[in-house]
Amino acid sequence: MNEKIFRILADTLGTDAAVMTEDTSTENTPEWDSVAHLNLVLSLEKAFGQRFTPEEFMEMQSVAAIKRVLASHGVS
Amino acid sequence: MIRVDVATPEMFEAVLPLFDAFRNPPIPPEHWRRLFHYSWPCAEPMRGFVLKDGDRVVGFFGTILYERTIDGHLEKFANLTSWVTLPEYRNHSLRLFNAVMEIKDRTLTCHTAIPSIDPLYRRFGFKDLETKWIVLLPLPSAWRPGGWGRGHITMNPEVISTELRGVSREFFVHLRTADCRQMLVTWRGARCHVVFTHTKGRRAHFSRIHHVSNPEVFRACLDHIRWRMALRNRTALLAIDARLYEGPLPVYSRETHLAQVALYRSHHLRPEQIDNLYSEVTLLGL
Repeated sequence: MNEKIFRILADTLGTDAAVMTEDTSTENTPEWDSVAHLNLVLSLEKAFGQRFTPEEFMEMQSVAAIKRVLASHGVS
Repeated sequence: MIRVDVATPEMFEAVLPLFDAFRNPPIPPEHWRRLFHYSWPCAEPMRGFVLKDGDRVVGFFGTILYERTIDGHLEKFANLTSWVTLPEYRNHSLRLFNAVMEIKDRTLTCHTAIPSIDPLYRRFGFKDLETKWIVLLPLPSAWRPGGWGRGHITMNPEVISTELRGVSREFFVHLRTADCRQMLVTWRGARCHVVFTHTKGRRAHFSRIHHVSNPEVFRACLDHIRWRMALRNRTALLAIDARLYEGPLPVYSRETHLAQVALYRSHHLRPEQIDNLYSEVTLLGL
């Protein structure tokens, strides 16, 4: 699943998937701004066939958080 | 601690620096004040939501609250305006959006959703409200001689105030101090109240019509209206929200699809039942 998340992140943020880790987050990725975040979460919804709540939109601000939310939807 | 609070009229001075930081060209403070201090009655003190870090306001998402009677029913609206957050707090800006999306008892409208945010609104139930304009040149029709002088038109506020009755007069009074202009057209004993703005486009300035109280009079006197409006606003083009104009396109006009469409979320209202009268478009003259 990491690879799929990294690819979506890279496509949305215009960065290199190879440099992504579990620790990649809004705090350490300048390209991951508020508008990019919205597009990222919408892309994740589409790619994983899920619908996230507004609270989950806000929570998914790191790769680890994205995986946590996806797991709560039964995606692993 | 960062938190979201309801914005109230008393918070205007605390929010104002955010507007100054983001609006280019700047809008005068007295215009921004209209988003907090309405010229119409409003029982609710909410003017949107603020993001606060301690006592400091670091973000704002505005809502302009108003009510309209539509098909005999009182309908409550909130026009969404000015979603701004200081750069260092952008990761928290969705908390403001979340608070606004929790407004369930009002029809929400958004006239200024930038294309990059459009998918987010649609994801939370918003649909097209205003998607195309009819754009007209201020020229009289050659095959309708005399049409350019049809009807009597006044833009004198004192005269309009005296002539209008009922809900149209309420609109006039509520918007008299806003950044829009008003016109009264009289033809064969019938009246048409028209509200329009002077809008600065990227390529040209134009007059933009937001409200037409009597479509029949408006259509009949359009040749007259368009050159008078162009003269008043010193603009070469006139744009009408296509929802306000029924029937075949007027001469010297064409339909234009908007790159930045207006959106709305409602349980039961249709786009043609909603206009821009009480919105940031008329209050700020956007």
